[in-house]
Amino acid sequence: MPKLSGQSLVCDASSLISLTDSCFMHALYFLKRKHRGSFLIPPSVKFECVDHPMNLRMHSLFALRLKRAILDGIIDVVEVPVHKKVEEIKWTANNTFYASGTPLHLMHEGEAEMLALASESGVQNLLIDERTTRMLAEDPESLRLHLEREFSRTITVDEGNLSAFSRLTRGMRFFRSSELLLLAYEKGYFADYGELEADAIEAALYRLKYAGCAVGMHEIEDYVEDKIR
Amino acid sequence: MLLRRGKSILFVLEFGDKLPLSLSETAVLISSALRDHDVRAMRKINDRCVEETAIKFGQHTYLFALISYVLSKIISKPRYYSQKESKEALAKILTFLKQCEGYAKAADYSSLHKTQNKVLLAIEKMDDEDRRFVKGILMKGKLKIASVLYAQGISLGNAAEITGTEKRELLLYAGQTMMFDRLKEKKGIEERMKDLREIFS
Repeated sequence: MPKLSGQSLVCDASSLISLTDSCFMHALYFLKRKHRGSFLIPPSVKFECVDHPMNLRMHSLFALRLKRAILDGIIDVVEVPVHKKVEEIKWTANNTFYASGTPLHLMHEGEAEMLALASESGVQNLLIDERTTRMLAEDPESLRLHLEREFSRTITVDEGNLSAFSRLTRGMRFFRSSELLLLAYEKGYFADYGELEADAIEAALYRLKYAGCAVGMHEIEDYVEDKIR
Repeated sequence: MLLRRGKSILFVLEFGDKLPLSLSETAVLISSALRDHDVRAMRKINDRCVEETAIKFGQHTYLFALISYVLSKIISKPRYYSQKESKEALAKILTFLKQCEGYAKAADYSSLHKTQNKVLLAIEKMDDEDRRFVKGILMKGKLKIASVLYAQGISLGNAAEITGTEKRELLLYAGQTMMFDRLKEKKGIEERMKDLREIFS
């Protein structure tokens, strides 16, 4: 059983997919050497990212990269009994926003499992590139307004369920693969690029964005201009 | 609900915008647009079906979204309704859509599901000369619908599951779009970095 400390991160499939697709899985190796905590995944994420795609020729290489990371002890698979919590989180999330009286099924079981693992294991840090789950926890009002714009109709809120969801996710901190890679950069991951180091991290951030990390072009541009260049 | 050919379809779709479409009505609208080779109407139907899929999260609505997407691409190519084999295939599709209407009215959702899949299979078999085109559109249709659902606010997992797409493919597709710029997150990179540095200190 890996160490479940406050320095551990529960990782979602979306972030691992972005990292493997961008060929930055070794950033996890790099950070693991400098870090006391663990990168944790529930068995469902392992199935989704390793077991299932291993049988699909187009995706098997990415699955292998992750499998190797697990075998090398960089990523730990954690089995914690979370079924009840998963159902609670999923039900609450999927009965918070309503469009024309119909509850919106925003969250998948996989995403609920991530949150449940974080909650039950006491690890409050989550690595998740998927946008909806993060917004529901961090800024539900913005998500509601976005849904209203997208569906051109009033989106009502079940305040009781929204409060319940906020309580379930209280204290959780969400990060994207972009931030993880930036941290690796700050600790010297791109040092061997020499004078091209700044170019390397900028290019890497765009690569992550195109791989599906939910980070905006303007976000990257602004950060690079302010903090890197 | 008014369901007639030609302009009436667009009238229903544009002015009945906030009224939900029933499954049987959707089948009739798709048939009408197909008979009239009305690409614009078919696209409108697709838009409505995608929106209904996001709200109701129903597999049947999703399949109609996929069917209307693919048909909108096919009927935009005149060769598909001028060749004998294609005309026969389109006639078959219309028959299946008529069956869909009946099953939907009778609330026989299992038969509806099977017949919707028959429509997709008939579409797939349409073009022996260029099967890659049709198959390619089917795959692209699933991914496009999944991407729209994700952009609208449905989670990645749900968007992937209802459309039968792989999360990886959906992430790659979504990453090429500007969807992440359209909705600004409360916490930017710097704020998250502050917390992350703390964890790794």
